[in-house]
Amino acid sequence: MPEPRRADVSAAGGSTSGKHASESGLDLKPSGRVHVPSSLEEALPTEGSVGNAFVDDPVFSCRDVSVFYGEKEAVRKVTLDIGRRQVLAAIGPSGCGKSTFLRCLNRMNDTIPGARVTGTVTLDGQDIYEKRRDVAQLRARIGMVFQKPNPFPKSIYENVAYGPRIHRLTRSRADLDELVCTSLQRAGLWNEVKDRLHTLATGMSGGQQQRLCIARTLAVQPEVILMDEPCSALDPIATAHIEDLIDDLRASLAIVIVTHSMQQAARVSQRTAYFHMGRLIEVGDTDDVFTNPQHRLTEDYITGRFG
Amino acid sequence: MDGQWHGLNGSRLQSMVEGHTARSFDGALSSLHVHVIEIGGLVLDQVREASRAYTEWDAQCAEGVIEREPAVNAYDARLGEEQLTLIARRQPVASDLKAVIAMSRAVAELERIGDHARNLARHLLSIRTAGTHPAAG
Repeated sequence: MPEPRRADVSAAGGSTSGKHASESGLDLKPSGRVHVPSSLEEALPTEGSVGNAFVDDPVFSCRDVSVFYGEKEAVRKVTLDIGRRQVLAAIGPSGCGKSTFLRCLNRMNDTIPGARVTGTVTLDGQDIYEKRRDVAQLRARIGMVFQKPNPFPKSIYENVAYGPRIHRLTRSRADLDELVCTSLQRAGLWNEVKDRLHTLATGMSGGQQQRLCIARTLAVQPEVILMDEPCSALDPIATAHIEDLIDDLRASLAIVIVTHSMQQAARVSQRTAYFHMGRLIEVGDTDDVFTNPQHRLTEDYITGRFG
Repeated sequence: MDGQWHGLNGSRLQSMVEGHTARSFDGALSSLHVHVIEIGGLVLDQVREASRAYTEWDAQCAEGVIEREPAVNAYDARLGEEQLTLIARRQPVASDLKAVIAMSRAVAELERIGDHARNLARHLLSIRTAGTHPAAG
């Protein structure tokens, strides 16, 4: 989306709301047949979001988190808690900043030249952007699963054993065998692969590969798993397997899932966060967001009224 | 279709069914909306005719109500199908889902009101053969 110019916004919003709207940094001009609610200028929070961004005893606490790619502010002042043993779904149109926000949580944005993060992100009360923070150690606590399954071109066993080996989590071969086995079991893959642990992982189906990637993440015993559209490349059956798995994993860890599928967000999450043009617009219980969205932008997005 | 009844909340209903990126969704919701208004108009006529049959002691009018009752039921069945299809194909959420559910409940009530209108008409025919108009008595 292009950055709005003050003149554009003032022209669209009228003299009374122009100032407010330009502060909000949103392009509010109705274009084509895209539905833009008339009360948008007034409704859009300049700071913060509607709903409840906070939880008791959060695993992650984000306060005023902004991400800049060079001059461009991709995420603007997001304040959000992520609870333990629950699934938070991040939804919103393409380019709304939901993936960028997700990548703040395990410092993946560090790898992007020109990316800069401001605000604070704490994991169990510790600032993850602290200067002396060991990022490799941090990422062991925060697993990540990507859109496209990315197993190493090694055996199924080696894929799962890789993390525990480099982080020296096991003391013996027997320990490692057991960890590989439990990780594959937790990922719901054991019965399908127990007889071919030493065959190439790249020969598995897409859905199996994705569950293998989850098993590989589980093997280093993370506290949180970040999922960036984990089912976009999968068929409905494989998707149902992953969603079922997400529901099981919720018993022991927190999951943040970015998804383009609102139905998926509605099915798997306990809390839903709606992002729009880099802002967190609304966050709340999934039950409420999909029945009684408080913000007009959320309502319009989930009912398919713009995008 | 009854003008007054439609005018009551017309513009609000309009905004409820329009504005989707997929315009065929607008179409499906509007069509549902129109059919609800049609069954509403039909039922309103039935109630008016049934009460007119009573006040005017008019057997022909009562028979007309009874004859038209299957049309109300047919509308109800057709709307049920239409709602199921819309939910299955579009998976409406939030205000759209509420609109579909509200229409579904309204139609169930309208169908029931239609039944009562027919019962009134039947009752008129039975007391008319049995005796005289209560008001005339």
